[in-house]
Order: sequence, then structure tokens, then C-alpha cells
Amino acid sequence: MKTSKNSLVILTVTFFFASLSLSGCDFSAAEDALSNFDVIISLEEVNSYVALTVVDGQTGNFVQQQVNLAFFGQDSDAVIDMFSDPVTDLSVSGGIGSFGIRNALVPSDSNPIEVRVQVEAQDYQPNSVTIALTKTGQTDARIYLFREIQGIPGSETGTNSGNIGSGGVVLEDIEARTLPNPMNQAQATVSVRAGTQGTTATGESASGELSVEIVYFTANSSSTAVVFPGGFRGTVETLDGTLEQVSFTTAGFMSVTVTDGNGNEITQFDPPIELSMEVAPNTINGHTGSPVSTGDAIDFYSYSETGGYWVEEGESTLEGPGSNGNYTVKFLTSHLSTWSAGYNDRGCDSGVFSIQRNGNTAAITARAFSVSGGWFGASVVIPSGESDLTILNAPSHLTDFEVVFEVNGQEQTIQRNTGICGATGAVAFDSPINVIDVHFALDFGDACEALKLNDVPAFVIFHKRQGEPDVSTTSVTTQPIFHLDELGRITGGEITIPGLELGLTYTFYTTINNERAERDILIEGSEMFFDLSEDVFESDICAN
Amino acid sequence: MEVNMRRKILLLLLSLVFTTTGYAQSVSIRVGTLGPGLHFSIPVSSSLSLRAGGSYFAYSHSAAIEDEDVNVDFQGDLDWGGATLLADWYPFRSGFRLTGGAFYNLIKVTGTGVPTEPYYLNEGQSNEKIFQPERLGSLSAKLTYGSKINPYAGIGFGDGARGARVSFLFELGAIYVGSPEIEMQGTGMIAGSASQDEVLTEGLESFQWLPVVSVGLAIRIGKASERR
Repeated sequence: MKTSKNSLVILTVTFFFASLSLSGCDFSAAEDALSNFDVIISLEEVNSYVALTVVDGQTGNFVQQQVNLAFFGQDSDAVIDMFSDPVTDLSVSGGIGSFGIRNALVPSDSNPIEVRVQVEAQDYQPNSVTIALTKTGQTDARIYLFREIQGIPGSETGTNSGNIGSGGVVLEDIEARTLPNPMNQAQATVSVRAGTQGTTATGESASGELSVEIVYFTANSSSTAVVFPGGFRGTVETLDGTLEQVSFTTAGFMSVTVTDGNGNEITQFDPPIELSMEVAPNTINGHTGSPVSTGDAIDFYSYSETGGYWVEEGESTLEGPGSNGNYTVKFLTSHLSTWSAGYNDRGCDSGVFSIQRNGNTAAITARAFSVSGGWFGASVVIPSGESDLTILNAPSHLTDFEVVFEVNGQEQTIQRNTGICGATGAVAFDSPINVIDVHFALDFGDACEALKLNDVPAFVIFHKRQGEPDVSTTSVTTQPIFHLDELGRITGGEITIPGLELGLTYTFYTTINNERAERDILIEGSEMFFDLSEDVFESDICAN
Repeated sequence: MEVNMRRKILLLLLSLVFTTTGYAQSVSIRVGTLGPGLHFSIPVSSSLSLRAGGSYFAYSHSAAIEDEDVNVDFQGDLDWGGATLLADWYPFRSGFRLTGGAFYNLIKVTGTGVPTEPYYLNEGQSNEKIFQPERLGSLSAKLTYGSKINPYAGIGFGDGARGARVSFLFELGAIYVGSPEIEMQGTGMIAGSASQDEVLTEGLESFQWLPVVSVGLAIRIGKASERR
């Protein structure tokens, strides 16, 4: 009995400690779990955002320099970045970027969110546009920059110079006149009379030789339309000083630069200098809705670079017509800027233009412009899945318009000799050959195992056919589904991109936190792989 | 629920103290891995005693933790110990015993970390982002065990009821507590980090046993019981 009791005790104790050792604690697993712990940045979804491309207006390719955007205007305080932080400015690299709008604001047709954007990049002329959001989700916006505004089709340049005496007084009459525009023979002139005193921006008197340079945009073309400062839907400071959202047309606009012998820009003139622009006879008078005639009034505006809007300076009277058939408008100014002669109104919306896609599932770009009569331009992206277009806030006094739709290399046009307000129409595309919807697996690969994020708001993928200019790039309007690892970090995702042509190579672009990824991918099937790991995402946003 | 259980245990302890069994009872003071404790023991036969008691230890700690990313103010609280209801079997005519029973654990470990300085993303670069501490938020974690009542087994020496009036006690054992569970919650921009509580719980999955080592002194109440 005693022996069996001792055996029982020994067995019990042995079993007890054996159990303990067998179920021993795995300290390395605990250590791994603790060392793998990572701080994940939780980001709020951004409901409304802008997919932005910045294109060199002369080459049609993305501006590769860093582009700085500054936001102005009533809704500019609603601009946020992917972290939902309010931003007053933004840097875009490689020509693509995105920004969001605070979720508290819900853009709609009746309550558009309009943000004025001043754009600058090294070696480029500054530009500014108004970006309007009329819906939640993605809104595409394209900004054009020009290295030199001289030489843009539709523009002509003129220069002249003269001597300056003591006190910054111009000693002789100086007149700079552009060459006649080949399309409509229109010219512009700047006249500085002898005795005019020039002052620099720093308040110093001009000295040396006075050089006058003028660039006049007077013929409607796609190039001149995109260089119109602020865009055709923008803000005007009226004569009583209030700011209003209006739709512009212009009969022509010109940029004037005057410098002295030291290269200093002359910004003030006493007495004022005279600017003269010739206006084509098919310009529609925004007040009467008829082609302009002698004695008609026309508004003139100067562009405020700092405010990003046009300032209504007054109106002048059309003279002529001259021997070339054009009318002339003259006005005096004591300061220099970009000047426009034209009209504005509250704008109107077109009716519905319907599109028969016939299998063209990709996003469709639409460009609307007026053929004559004081021109304007607008560019709209119709997302995949949508088949109609309404052009918002077009000038209501237009008497003709043209809308060009483009997808998969096909173009369809609607042209009307009527105003655009309420206008309707329909286009049908041919069925595309070998166009498929492609499901892409997104992977951050070895270089960046995961992003320390649980979401990438305002994530945009752009694509174009390889070899075509970047201006043909379109965006994908759907958001990817992101995949998270066990720590809650993004390791990849998936997205379906519609309307890609089998056998063609496409260049894809995307950006996260202003780091751009670019990949050439041959479309070989409906299941493809998009590796986002190489040479991008070197930032701290990467988990490793 | 926890309060009710405590009341029940207290009633049981009192009933043990005042139960007349014909054997001497003892009370012991212990200190060990479960913290300081007090046990009451009453023999129910010549080789078997019932024991009830509890150990408890609470500790709070605050610290400023320096990290390469962002410094954090840390506040941690530890509730450690629990109540036991045990049977001590003395198989020999000595103080050696085998012990088994139940442990009602009150173990809870909580901690909260609050960043005290901004977090820089891409510091010094053109796309630098600065997140202020109030926007970063906080992370808190709580470690508990799924089951409050756990089995205990151990061995020990010393028998307060059957030896000298004051005797030395030693006990070595283990409580099967199961795997600990970590629950995290977060606020602000780092709230998403709380989803990693499952990973941490998995990392501690093997920590299912709680070792118990204690020493103490027992005081016999009444005449010494006889060992068989």
C-alpha cells in the first residue's frame, strides 16, 4: 500500500512537471509578436477628390518638374490631402496628383464645389484654373502649363524698345505690335507715349532701355483655349468689388511684359499706356447675342495672378471695322497683367448628350468649345459606366458649339449652330476590337512589404497607350479594394480597369503621398499583375 | 458577477474557520508569485485538509518611453492574484503534500500609451507630414484570461494543523489559466493599430500555465492534529 502510494505521488509529480515542460511557453513567438507590432495610420475615407494631371501644353507630355499648386477661392479651405489634413498648397511630381475635399461638403450640380488653383513650375509660365466638383467620387482635372507662351498656335508676338531718361521717363513713343494672326488677321498693340514714367515693382524708376513684349491670343484653337488664365468658368471681381462665379468668353487676350535695361519688370505707368486689340467680326456680343458691330460695348478684364481671378476693369467701345474686317477695342491701363476683351454671364447647362458606347467601356473624354463668336473651351471625363454628358456652366450667349468625344482612339463629334443652353445630341461609337476589362492584382512586392496605412484615400490610377503623348492619359474612376495583412497594413489590392485593348502595351501611373509609380504593362489577358514595388514608395509610409 | 463570486468565497472562508471538525485549524500568511496572501486550512481527515484563501497584488506604473518614431507616455496597471479553494493531501507522515483545487483569477493587466510629440512622416522631404499628438490619439491594451476559474496543482511542504504551532510553508505549483487574451482599443489616427491585438494574442498563445511559488508561515489554531 505504501509502495503504491509512493508510486502515485511520484507519478503525479512527474506528470505535473512533464505537463508543464511539454506545454512550455514559446517566448520567441511572444517576442516576434511584440517586435512585429507596427503603428498603423488610420485614414478617413475621402468622399470627393480630384484626379489631377499637369501637362506641358506644347509637348503634350506630363510636366516632370515639381509642380506647386496653391488653392484660392471660397471653397479652397475645403481642400485636404489623403490624410484629411487641410492644405493650402500641394506639390505634384511627375505630372500627376490628387487632392480631396472635406467630407462635410457634398458637391452636386446644384451645389458645386469650386476651387481656384494657381499653378507654378520651374521653367514654366504660371497658370491658374478653376476646378469644379459637381459630384462625390472622382473628378478629373487637367492643367496645362507652357514654358513660353510665345509660339503657341493661335497666338502672335510683337516686341519693341525705346530709351528711358532720368526719373524713369520714356524719351520716345514706343509701339509694340503683333504680326497679323494667319487665321483672322487680328493684331494687338501696346503704345507707350514719350513722357510716360515707368516704375518697377519695388518702386524704383525705370532706367536704361524700355523693352515691350506682347503676346496676343486671338484665334480659337485647342492650345489657346487651355492657356486662358483661370479657365472659362471662373471668378470675376466686378466693378463694385464683389467676387462672382461666371462663365467667360473672350474675343482675345494678351500678355504684356515691359522691362527696363536692368531687366526689372515695369509695373506702373504714369500716364497710363494704351492697349489695343483687334476683334474678329464673328465675335458674339454677350449683351445682344448677335455678332459684334461698330459701337458695341465689350468688357475688358485684367487677370489677378495673386487672386487667381479676372478683374473687370470696365468696358470699351468697338471701332471699325478696319480693312482686314476686324474691329478694334482700346483701353488705357497704368498696370500690366494679362488682359482679356470679352464677356461673361452666369452660364447655363447643356441638355443631355447621350453616348452609345457599344462596348467601349473605358472613360470617355469630351472637349466642348465654340467654333466662332467669342470662344471658350471645356474638357470633361465621362467615367466608365456612364453614358451621358451634361456640360455645366457654359456661356449662355454662345451661338454655336462643338463637342468632341474620344475613346479607344475613336472620335465622335456633335456640332450645332445654336447656343449650348439645353442643347442635346447623341453619338455612337463603333464596337471596339479586342477591348476587354482587365482585373489587376496590385502588389507592393518586396521593396515595400506593406504600407503603414489602412486605406489610401484619393488613390488614382491613370493609363495611356504606350507611345502616345501623356495628354491622352485617362484616369480609372473606380477605387481599388485594398488587401490588409494581419497587422492591418496594406499589402496590395485589386482593381478592374475597363476598356483595355488586348495585345497593346499601356503605361500606367499612380501616386501615393505624391510618390509616383509608372509601369508599362502588355495586356495579355483579363487577369494581370501590377507590381507597385520597384523604385517607388521609398518613404516612411513603407512598413519596412 | 465578480463581486458575487468574491462574496461566495468570503462566506466559504468564514464557514471553514468556524466549522468544527475535531481537527486544529490553521491560518497562514504567504508571499509568492501570486503576491501576498492569507489562507485558512482545516483538516477534514488525518491526511486531507481543505484550504481557502487568496492572494492579491496591484501595481501601477507610469513612464515616459522614448522611441525613435515618437515618445510615448505610458500608464500601466496590474491586478494580480485571486482566490483559491484547495485540497491538501499529505500522503506521508510528513509535511509533504500534494495540492489540487480551483483558482479564481483576478488577473488583469492594462496599459495605455499616449504619444507626447508629433509624428513625422517623410521628415525633411518635400512630402513631409506632421501629425500632432492630439491627432495621433492613443492606444490601450488589456490582458485577461478567458476563464476566471482555473485548475491548480502543486506540491508543498509544511502542515500548519499538524505540527508546531508556527510552521514554515513552501509551495510549488502551476495554475492552468489557458491562453491570455489581449484586447486593444485605439483613438485617433493610430486607432487602426489596435487591430493587431489578435496577433499579440496569438504570440502569447503558449503562455497557458501560471507558475506558483510561495513561502509562508502558518499558525495553528487549537490542538495539533495527529498525523496518521
